[in-house]
Amino acid sequence: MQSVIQGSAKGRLEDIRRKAPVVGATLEWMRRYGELALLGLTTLGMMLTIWAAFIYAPTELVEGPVQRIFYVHVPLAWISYLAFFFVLVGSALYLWRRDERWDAFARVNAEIGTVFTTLVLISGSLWGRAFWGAWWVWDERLTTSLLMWFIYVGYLALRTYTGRTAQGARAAAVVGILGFIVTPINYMSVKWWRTLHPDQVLPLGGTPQLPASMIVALMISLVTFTLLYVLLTTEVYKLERAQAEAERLRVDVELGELE
Amino acid sequence: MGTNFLIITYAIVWLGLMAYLGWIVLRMRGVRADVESARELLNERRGERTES
Repeated sequence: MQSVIQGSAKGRLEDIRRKAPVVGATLEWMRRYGELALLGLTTLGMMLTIWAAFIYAPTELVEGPVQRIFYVHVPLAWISYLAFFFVLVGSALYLWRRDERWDAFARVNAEIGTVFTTLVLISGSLWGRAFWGAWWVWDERLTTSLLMWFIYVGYLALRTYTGRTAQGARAAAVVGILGFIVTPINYMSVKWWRTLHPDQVLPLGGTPQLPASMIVALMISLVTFTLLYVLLTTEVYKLERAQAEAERLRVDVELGELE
Repeated sequence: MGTNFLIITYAIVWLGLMAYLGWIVLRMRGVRADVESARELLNERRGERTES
């Protein structure tokens, strides 16, 4: 199956190369070295993030050095929002097209989103302990973050329980679509309720309330984490497809034994 | 005090991400080995069938 997909992709690439040689050559380069370039850029970005967070960005006057947690906490939260949005997209497209690649895409994003939300909760808890003096408060932002985490852990548990079946994929797609409702509520919670959690740093359509150097450091970190997200999505998606192929081959072997 | 929390947080985040990457690599190796062995088995069976 995978070789069939790769074969058809190669055919398309040949077609593009004939029609537009420059685009074809770029795509060919990306196919060969894209992942390596992405890994290199992400590593470089990680080093830059450490430099920007610890050296370039100024120390905040009220919180002191612990405020620098901000440069990982916010990008981690951004990636979890992004991943859960793609769970929604993948799930909706799966229900529409019934193409298992969209289902795999949704599953991959649920896994990555859960890992990043776990790190958001841990980093937030440590930051809270240092600044508020408490590991956890039942604040609206924190509570909806925990709820979000439970939804996607539930999604992954459902996938494990149902296996690679069409029925399981359909059920998970419904959870993936309905579960996304919590994500915008979580983002808007600091606006809708009086929360202990700080306000949005980069409000949609608004002006950031931070000094330029802090914004630059945050942007470096956001770009790096986005690159890391792309790398992880590529790798976990490949893994997902390889697992599906392994399962198909095992079924072929078992069917061969029955004949 | 604040600096300790800062260092612990960064260590947990980076180590957590590295551990996740490592887990992906390990799973990938396992699946590749699975695919290879299943393919070999399938080819063997096909070979046996054509011989018989």
